[in-house]
Amino acid sequence: MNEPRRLRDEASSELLRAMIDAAREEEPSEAAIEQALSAIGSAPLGADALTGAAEAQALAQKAAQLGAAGHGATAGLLLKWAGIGLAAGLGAAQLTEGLPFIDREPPAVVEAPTPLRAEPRPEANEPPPALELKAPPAKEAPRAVEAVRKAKQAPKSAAGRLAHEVAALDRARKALAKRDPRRTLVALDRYEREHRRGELLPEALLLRAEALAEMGDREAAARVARRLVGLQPNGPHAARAQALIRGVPR
Amino acid sequence: MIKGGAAGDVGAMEATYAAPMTVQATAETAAECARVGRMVREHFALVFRTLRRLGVPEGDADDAAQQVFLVAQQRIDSIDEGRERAFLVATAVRIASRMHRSRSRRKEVDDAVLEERTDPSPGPDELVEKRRARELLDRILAQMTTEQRVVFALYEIEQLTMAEIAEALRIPQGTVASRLRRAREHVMSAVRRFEGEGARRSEG
Repeated sequence: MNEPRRLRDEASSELLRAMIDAAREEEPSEAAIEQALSAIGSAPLGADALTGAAEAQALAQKAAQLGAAGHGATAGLLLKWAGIGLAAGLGAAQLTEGLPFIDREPPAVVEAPTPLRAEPRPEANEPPPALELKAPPAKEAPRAVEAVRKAKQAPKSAAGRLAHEVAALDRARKALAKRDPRRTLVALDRYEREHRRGELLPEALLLRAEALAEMGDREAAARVARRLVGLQPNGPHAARAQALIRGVPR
Repeated sequence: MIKGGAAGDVGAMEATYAAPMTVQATAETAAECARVGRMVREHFALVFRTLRRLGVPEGDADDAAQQVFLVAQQRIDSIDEGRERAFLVATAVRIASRMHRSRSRRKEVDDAVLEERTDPSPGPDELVEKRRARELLDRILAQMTTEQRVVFALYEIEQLTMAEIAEALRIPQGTVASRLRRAREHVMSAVRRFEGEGARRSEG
């Protein structure tokens, strides 16, 4: 079938050309791309970004070879640097579990996504380490691989799902305890994606409100707190939510 | 394989850790992760613009694009090498469509969010002009059927071929051609109307 010429090339209207040019030139922000990379657990778009993916693939292959050859500890270290350390690996694996659109449907819209920010992930500027064949600490590396393995197993039972939820919220809680609201919100976004009708949604809302308050966005914090009060007017978090609505700090 | 490691739990963990199958599975996860990462870097802008032309507000387009890639990550096993773009476009169309339905239901909330997220600071003139031009195009596109709008955006803005569009949307190329023809007629007619109004205003 013959392809017609693009309208941009054959139209005499300056207005039409300007509209199409403007649409073609619209670009997302780098922060948005970085955020997407972060969400999928891939390397951030830093100085090494262009080679990062290839390196990760090469490292993963190397790790697999070493694993097959019996060098499990070294393989684990390589895998860690291939972008699947405890946090990233767990996140990537979890994203393949428990989402409602796994078959053919796209996902439902995330109701309250974290605003995208230009701050790079802390590890973005860390140079990749040399490939030293040094064993990882005895507990840390097995935990990373184990976490990925566990995350790939979908929690089939209600208890399993709840444990999954608790683990997801724990990450948010720990980040908030370290006064890192940005990571808290990222963890909460992930929680909400994975547990759209989660049992612990009220806790997630409270953590979100606390994180927003920690960031100094009292208005947004109050808005989320109001949503929580609306959901559970007499729930265990109602008092704290009311305090957040009034702008009382933690 | 590590054998006879430390006793107790640590030994058991090391045994699990060293199991070739587990390492292999993890290596596959790393390779998949890297592949989706490449997709993000190569196609994020295309997905973002497609969502925008399909009516996703500027303030929501980043998050919607992110969702597209999360779906890709979910389904990475079913995406053939070289077919990534078609998959992403199809997913973007579905997500935009779902967002549109969802937005219709909660328009008031959306308006508030959009208002919060829109940067009110004026940019350089050229940027303002480009923004206006895009807004005008989006107004015209909003008057079309979704089917025509998708084909117009993919062919005229993203410059995909008809075959690529047909593959992504799973429709015959003839259907792509007819939708494109109607979409172009609609756009040309709207542009002539705008230009006519502009001419009348300047005469008046």
